[in-house]
Amino acid sequence: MATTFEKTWQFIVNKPILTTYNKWQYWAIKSGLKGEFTFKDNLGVDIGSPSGLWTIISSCDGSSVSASDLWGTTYSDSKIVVAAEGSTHSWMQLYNSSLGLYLVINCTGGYETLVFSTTEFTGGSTTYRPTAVNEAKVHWANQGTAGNFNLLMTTEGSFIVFATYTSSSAIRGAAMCLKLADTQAGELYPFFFQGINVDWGWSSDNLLANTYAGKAFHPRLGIPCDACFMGMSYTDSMNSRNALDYVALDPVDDGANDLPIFVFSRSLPNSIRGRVPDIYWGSNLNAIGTVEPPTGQVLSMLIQSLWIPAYTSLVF
Amino acid sequence: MATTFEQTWQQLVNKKMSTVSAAEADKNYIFFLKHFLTGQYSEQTGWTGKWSVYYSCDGTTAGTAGDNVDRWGSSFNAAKIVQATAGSAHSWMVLYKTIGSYTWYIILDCDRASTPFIDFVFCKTAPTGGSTTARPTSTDEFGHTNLQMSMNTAGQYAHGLLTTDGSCFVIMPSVQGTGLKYPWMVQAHAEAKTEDLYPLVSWLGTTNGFRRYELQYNGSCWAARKFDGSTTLTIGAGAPCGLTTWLMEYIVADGLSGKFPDFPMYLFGAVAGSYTKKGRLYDIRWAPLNLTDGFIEPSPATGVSSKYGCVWLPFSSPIVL
Repeated sequence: MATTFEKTWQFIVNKPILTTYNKWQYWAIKSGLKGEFTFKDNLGVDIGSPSGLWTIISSCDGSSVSASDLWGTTYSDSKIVVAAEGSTHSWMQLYNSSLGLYLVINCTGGYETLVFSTTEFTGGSTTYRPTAVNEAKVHWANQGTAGNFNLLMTTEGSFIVFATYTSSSAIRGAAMCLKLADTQAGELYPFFFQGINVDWGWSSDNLLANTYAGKAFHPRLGIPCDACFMGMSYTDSMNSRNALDYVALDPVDDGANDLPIFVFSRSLPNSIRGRVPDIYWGSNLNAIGTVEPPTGQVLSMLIQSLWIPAYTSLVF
Repeated sequence: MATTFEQTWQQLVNKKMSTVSAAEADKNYIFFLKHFLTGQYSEQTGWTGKWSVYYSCDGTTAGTAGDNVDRWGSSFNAAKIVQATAGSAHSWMVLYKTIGSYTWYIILDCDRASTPFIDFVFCKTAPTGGSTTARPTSTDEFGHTNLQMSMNTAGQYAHGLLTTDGSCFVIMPSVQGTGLKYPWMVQAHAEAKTEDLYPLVSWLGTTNGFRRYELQYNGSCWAARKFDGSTTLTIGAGAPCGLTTWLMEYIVADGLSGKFPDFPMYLFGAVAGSYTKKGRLYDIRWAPLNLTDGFIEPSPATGVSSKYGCVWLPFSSPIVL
């Protein structure tokens, strides 16, 4: 398993999810990205001034709309109103200047929950979120019971968010916003956004599918398109789309294997968009939460089929 | 297509084989395997990474291990490439090359009556024995047995790639108007685990050339040895996929640059008891299927890579297809 990283990661891990669980997670994503939680570095040391933070552009608490953060720095159930588009609900627009990305956290659940754009969202009311010309929407599935909130963010602002819950072999409440590496010359939108299916978590199939999987923007035109991680299969019947899923520990070195992950965008142009830095395929035969190295300072962790950067074990 | 490589490749393309007959062209191609790998063609002046002759047999005289005598000669002579089943007099050739910590041997055994067929045998333990009727043998062999490797066509062409350190090569025949078939590639591959004592693989394609099916383990075209040398290893290359689709079959050119992407070719132990991440091929990568064979990137005038079947190869010049 790779134990050196291309990016500098900042960590919020094992933060208990409070009631009301789904609402709290929406608030936590905002608070985490904004830097209202304490980040730790890869050795577990508090980061006094995290980098890559997102800033507030506009928000709605179900009662009013403002250019400031109406959800507050202290969680309040009444500020996070959850309902479908067209009914009164809360939303939050954030911006990352390093990535040049806007994000709307839309408290509706499902496909309209996390919406990304490279242009500012405008409009918005207590019943409708703001909109942009080109939007990448990823599916959201709450962690609906007690669990722990985790947010990993690079110093550029790319992030992974997910929730663990007791004795589970999968995760929920997960999303990714990643800036890709090894993109083609002239790529103008080197981003990949990942959603989640509530039952599959980060299984290989969920990450390879185009239903709940990912979104990207057209590399030149910025029009949203479906995207997914690319697996590797050595059987013509595609029995396993993740070639590592046949063995937990490699018999050659008794180690856990990893493979690089590339992103494929499905809508025209069908193309390989680039590689995901610091996140690798792993074998789902290894227990969720498996760490590397096995002893000493934790550097990576396996979450279902993915190795992600880590500095400590997670609570499940 | 990635146009920077980890290895430095040398190429010899469009070498025309005998036009006398299909059978003689096959023998000429067998001779080409030896002559190319040992760098004896005039076009290979200045090349590095050449393999050497360990010993050989021309069907009349069998050498002894380590005598380094090339009995097939410095120029093609069909009479020196005797093809007959084991037990009858036939030719064989043992080549060797030290790559990193290991010395590898390749035995080319002309023990098939049909001219486009030979056996390829690899080993790390120096082969011994051998006579005019039987090839040398070793204790840790792996390879390709009784597989067609030539196109049985008079005037067919031969093409080869060899890295400057000799650790990787590709040799393949083609026929004008037919295309290429039976490509053969060998690599002391990348990302080998330290514990893998046999970090060398061989792949011999079929009449379908560089087709995905044959690169995956279903085609049984790969030859490898288990990491501890105890037995042969069945491997396959991982083709890039989505949930239900082979993604390289859907790739189109980037809309503005016109360039096509590539994907690394990782190898895996493919059967129960031997599941492993074997390693990765240097510089030979999955290519979009829907490109004409021979497509060159970044441009024909400044060629670096060419697409054949579903792979990019470091051929910078077009080959006869």
